[in-house]
Amino acid sequence: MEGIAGNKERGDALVTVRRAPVQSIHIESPVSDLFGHLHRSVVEEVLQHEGNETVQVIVEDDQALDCVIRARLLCALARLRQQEEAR
Amino acid sequence: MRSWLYTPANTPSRMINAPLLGADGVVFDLEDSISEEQKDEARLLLASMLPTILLDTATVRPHVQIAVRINGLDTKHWQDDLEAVVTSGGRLIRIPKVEGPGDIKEVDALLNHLEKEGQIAEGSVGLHALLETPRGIEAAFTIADSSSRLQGLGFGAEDYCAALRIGRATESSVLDYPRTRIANAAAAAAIHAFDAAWGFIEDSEGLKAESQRSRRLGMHGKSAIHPSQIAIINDGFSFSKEEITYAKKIISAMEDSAGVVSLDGRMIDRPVIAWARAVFASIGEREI
Amino acid sequence: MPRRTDYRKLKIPSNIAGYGPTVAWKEVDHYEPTEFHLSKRTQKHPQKVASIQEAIERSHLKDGMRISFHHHLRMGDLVVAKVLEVLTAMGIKDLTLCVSSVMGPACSAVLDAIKAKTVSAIETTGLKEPLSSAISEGILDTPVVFRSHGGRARAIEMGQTPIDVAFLAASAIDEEGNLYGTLGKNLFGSMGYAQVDALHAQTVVAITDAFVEKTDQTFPSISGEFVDWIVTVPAIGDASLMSGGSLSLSKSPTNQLIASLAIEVLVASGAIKRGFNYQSGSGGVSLLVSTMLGSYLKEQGIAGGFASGGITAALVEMAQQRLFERLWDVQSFDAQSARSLAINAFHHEMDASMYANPYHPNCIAHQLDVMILSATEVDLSFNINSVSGTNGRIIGALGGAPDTAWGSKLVVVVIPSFRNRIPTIHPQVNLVCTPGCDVDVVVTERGIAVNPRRQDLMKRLQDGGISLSSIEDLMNHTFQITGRPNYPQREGPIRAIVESRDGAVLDLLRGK
Repeated sequence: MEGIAGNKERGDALVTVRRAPVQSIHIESPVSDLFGHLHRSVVEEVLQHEGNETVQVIVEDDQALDCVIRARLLCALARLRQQEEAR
Repeated sequence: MRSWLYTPANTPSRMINAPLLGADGVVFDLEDSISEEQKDEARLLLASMLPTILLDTATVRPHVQIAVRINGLDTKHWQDDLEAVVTSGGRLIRIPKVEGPGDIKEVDALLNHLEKEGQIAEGSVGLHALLETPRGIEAAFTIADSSSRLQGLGFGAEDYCAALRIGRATESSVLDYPRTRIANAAAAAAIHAFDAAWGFIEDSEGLKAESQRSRRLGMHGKSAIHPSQIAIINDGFSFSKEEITYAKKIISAMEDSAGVVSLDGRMIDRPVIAWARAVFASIGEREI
Repeated sequence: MPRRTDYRKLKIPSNIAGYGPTVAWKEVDHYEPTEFHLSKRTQKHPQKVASIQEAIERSHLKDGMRISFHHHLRMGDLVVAKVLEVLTAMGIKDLTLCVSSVMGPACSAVLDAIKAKTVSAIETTGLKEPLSSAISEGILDTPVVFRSHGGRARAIEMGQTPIDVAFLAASAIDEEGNLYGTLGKNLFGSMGYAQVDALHAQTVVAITDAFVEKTDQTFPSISGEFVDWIVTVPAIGDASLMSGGSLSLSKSPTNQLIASLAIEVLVASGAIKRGFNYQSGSGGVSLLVSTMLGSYLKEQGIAGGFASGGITAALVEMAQQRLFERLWDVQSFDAQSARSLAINAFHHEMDASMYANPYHPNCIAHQLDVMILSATEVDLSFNINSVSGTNGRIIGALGGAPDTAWGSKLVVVVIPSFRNRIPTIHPQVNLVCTPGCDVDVVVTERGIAVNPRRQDLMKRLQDGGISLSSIEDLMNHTFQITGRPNYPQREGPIRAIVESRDGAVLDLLRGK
């Protein structure tokens, strides 16, 4: 089961979250050298705010703004929870 | 407010620049341009981007208004939409398919609650009501008059044409009635009246013709679904050079006289003065 | 906020391996004209040879020499690859490549030649992938030297970069060995970049795929008296691919907005008046400005003097409508411009030296009233980067920007305030290509900033109803949207040198 949100398009990010024994964050981006520090802190901040979920987060970024990554991650998490509740 | 650009809440790169493209207002859409499976995604995206967009717009295009079209009251989405938009700073909501004052009251109640909870000044979230059905059009005035939150009344032609079984691109006078009714109701409630979007993007002549027609029927503006339509709509609903010149003359004549205002040997009535002031007000809003 | 106003703070070594002694850049008010542009060649008698190899043999090209090409065929060029292939096959090594630019198919050909050790040094106005990554990663032992079009012309004419063999593609050659760019099946128009090479190279090898008869209706670009050897190939290139490679009219609403704001700036500045001289770069927004300018001139009944630089169909149409009296063409960007050069009296060819060499007595760049430029980055001192991106990767070229920016009375940079996520305005550009003292206005979709050195212009624009922001405010506002980037520190080996027009060292591009 995985929660997926967003798109692999310029200005957007595709975010996938899955349950995992430990939390892990993997970010792929053409602008990591410039914005990697912000990518990281956005993802960590969202995870913390959402109760430190034990999830594996994969962000495939194509130059999305912080607020876009935040939205896609929140949506992916919500979708994962929805699927888990539906079981 | 001559033009409103609809922008689907699903493409960040378009959303971020929508307020810059020359329309007097932007409507971020959560309704018809977003598929059912993507409603949650679009809502979260918009809520997350709104603070940045609002701050950006306030700095670089302070006269541009930002609105959000939420899902209809017959869906399961509209309350979540409203909450997400208001808590992220949205202050103008466009409600689709409004059929009666009861719809507005329902939204009003939730907004009262959200404003209180969010410690936002009561009444600071404004509304547009879209009338898209014969029933809604009939109830135009009671809808317009049902809440002080209402700032505009809009015409939605797609559904209306379907209900009347006519083509959208019709040249017949069938659409004059809903437009006039809306324009009159809006005038009676002292709010804006705006016309339906023109879906035929390639047909600029059709857009121009419809804009001119609806303006003559008393509407103040129109929605756009593509940036290429903005200039045509702005032109269609702008005051002409002659009108502006005339308005300026009246205002200066007013400033020159103590009591009765006269221009070119004729007395100028109060309504005409009010018109001149409205012309000035509309230009002033857009002076960048 | 650190500002790059004092260039002496840039630590330039007094000598760079593979380049030589350096002169630090400083601002110049005036260039004293010289006569270096005049050719010293004696009359040659061009001869046909059977192959590129034979031409190379007859040129006595040896290891370590300098060769040159032009890039008039742009994305459709087949000559550069062909010649480099032959040179590699012949085992010739260590050549310095002195080109007007490298783009399209030539980039991988040059990269292959470097790997084969045929080429070991590059002098150019720009380069693209896959060559640019390889350069950044250090495939060459010596730094690439970036010169502007004017700087390249100056360096060749003054003997700083003497060319041993110039390989010049011509779309047609006549019985006297005269070279044409406007005749033949793969015609490309102006041979402006090639003309300097032809006049000053030791040996000139002309390569063509078409022969024509000389008539009084035809105007060769280069006289046969400068040509040594003539080679025939099946095709010099594909002229249908000529366009592209930084040239396409943008449809984006944001770019159209920036262009229309730029027109408002031009109008408010008072620069658009009868007889004004105009040039724009080849970026998408710049081309839009030219098109909108045409409409404005027509509406207002104003006719400009000349339009210059890379000539496009849009400019040709404007000249046809008498909106400009004359076109000065150093590069024809499309088929319509190429044909126009051949037949229209208002359309003149100009060589790179007359175009942009600071010491040329009739330098066209120095006669400009308006210059529209694009950039990869701009900084708080109005310095422009047009060669590398914010992450330090080579993505563009100097072109003629440093020349026209110095020469033009009004210089307007048109850029979006951010591209995708990357802001365009920074505290410091990561490579200075055109110094800020030559840049007057930056126009973005979110604000317009005037260089504080131009208080006169600031006032004129404000009086004309244009709202201005400071460049700092524009930058900070953009950071609120994109976030503030983490600037990569580059303290590694020097991968490229940016030379100023007059041969000083303006900046250095370092690897990791």
